[in-house]
Amino acid sequence: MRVQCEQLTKDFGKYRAVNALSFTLDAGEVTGFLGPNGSGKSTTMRLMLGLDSGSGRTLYDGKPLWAYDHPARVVGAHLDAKFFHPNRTARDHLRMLAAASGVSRARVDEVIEVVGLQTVATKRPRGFSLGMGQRLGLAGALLSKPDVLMLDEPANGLDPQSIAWLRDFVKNYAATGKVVFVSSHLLSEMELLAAHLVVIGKGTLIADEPLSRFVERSTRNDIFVRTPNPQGLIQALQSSGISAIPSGTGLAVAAGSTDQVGAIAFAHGIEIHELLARRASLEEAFLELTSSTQEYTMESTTERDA
Amino acid sequence: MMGTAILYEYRRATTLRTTWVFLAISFVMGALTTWPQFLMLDNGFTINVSQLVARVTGVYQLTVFVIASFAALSWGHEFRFGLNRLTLSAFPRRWPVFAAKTLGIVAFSTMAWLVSVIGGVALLQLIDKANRVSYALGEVTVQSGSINEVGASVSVEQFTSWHMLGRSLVFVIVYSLIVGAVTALTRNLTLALIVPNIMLLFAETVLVMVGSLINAGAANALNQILPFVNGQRFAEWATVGQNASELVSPLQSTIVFLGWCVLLLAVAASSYQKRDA
Repeated sequence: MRVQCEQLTKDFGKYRAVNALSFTLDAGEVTGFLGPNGSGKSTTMRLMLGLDSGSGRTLYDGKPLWAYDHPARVVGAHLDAKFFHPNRTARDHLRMLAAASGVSRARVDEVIEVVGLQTVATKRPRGFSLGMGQRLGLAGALLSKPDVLMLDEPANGLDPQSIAWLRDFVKNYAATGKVVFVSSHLLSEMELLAAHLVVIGKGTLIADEPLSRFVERSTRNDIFVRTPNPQGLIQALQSSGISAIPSGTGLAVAAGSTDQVGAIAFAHGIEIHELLARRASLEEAFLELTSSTQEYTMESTTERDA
Repeated sequence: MMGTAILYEYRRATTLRTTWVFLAISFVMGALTTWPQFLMLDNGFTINVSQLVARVTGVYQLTVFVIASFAALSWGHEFRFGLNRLTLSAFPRRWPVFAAKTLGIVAFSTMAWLVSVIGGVALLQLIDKANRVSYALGEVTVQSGSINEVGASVSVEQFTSWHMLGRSLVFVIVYSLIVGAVTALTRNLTLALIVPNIMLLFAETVLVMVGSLINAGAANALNQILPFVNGQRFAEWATVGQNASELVSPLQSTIVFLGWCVLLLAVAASSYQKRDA
């Protein structure tokens, strides 16, 4: 299965929420969907499912979703942890969804076990916590073992154990040759989960590339060197065309590799106490690369003097 | 796809306790609304079962309101709890969902109507008054008279019992479909439950009265186009009008009542097809 989104666009009146988004999702890997609040992630997912009207199209193995006899077997979507009737039991909720994809009652019980809702399966979900709602939503998306799993913020409200479980589950699901598309605000979690990223800001595509490449684009990737002779090392590096600036107890070298910096220091007889390649976190890279597309920003946490 | 949508709608309705509660209430309402009406009759008087039915669903609008609440909830729950997005993720072609819901409303209304009738009869059995009911579906004479403010014209007609039974059932179904269509259109459960019922109970009558204050023509025009005034005339099969040129026949009322239903369903279906989920 291959999912192609072509020129997805959505306007709310004069406001363009999604602007000509095109990207492709491949089977066998988890694709993370990132963007600041209000960047259009949920709207994009709804466009992909045909829930919202807009322009552009999404093809699932070359066909629009509506062209399939059983669309629920193609895409399983979990868009919100509160999409259930509060007075319909969890099992009945899933039985209702099972009717759409023609799966058996046994499969309903199976997914209940998979997401760990056995003890509350016959309970009405009005008292469910956010985490339990997430599990129920995930169970609904998994019912027909769809080729494409689409999850919008599935880790919200989950405890650390559940997040770890979700991560393993989703990765394993993708490894069976399925397409998995997950949006999340938990960047540290996304770093552990996704192999590929689609990043948007103000509805426009910022990145569609492997996570490692996205992080490499950050200027926060550098080499830290601690030496008793920082000025000597700065001059030695500059003579090789590499810039370095003081950083904390050492120097931050903007380019090159640890091997290269070590070799230059050795050639100039400069003693090195610490040499470390510093890699930006996904969060740092994300904040840096989406800073110009933040829809809603907050004041600094430090209060200014009146 | 249509079969799957019907099964989905069936599961949706039957896995919800409110569906069964509404059926139970229909039964109780059928019983309660029959009892006082029936006790007013003299001892020994026999009433035809079809007249009983007319009392259950035609006169006591509360029963109809209860039955139509299912239609409102059928659509209202979809929007209130976000289920519409789950539903339409599974059914990107939306028309089967709309058609299945419409069929579901027709099926439930029919069932609830039957249950309310059974409720009425059951209560009579319980209080040992059932001997007053003639279960023969023969011809009955009905004096129907929806009073037109411009001047009443009361018709006394003979109907077969089947005719009355059929009209009572159709009234319930059409009213429920109108309530369902309004819910699908407005996506507002409360509004859809209240507005048609207020229209049915008194708003239209008030409108006609206001119209009659302006002039007789305005009142007659309103009489001819308002949905529930015509719906009631359809249920009672009454001819109203001051003179021959202004007469509204039961057939005209039927066309207007059904026309409103078809129009609202068409607009709701079109809106459901196009609007964001």
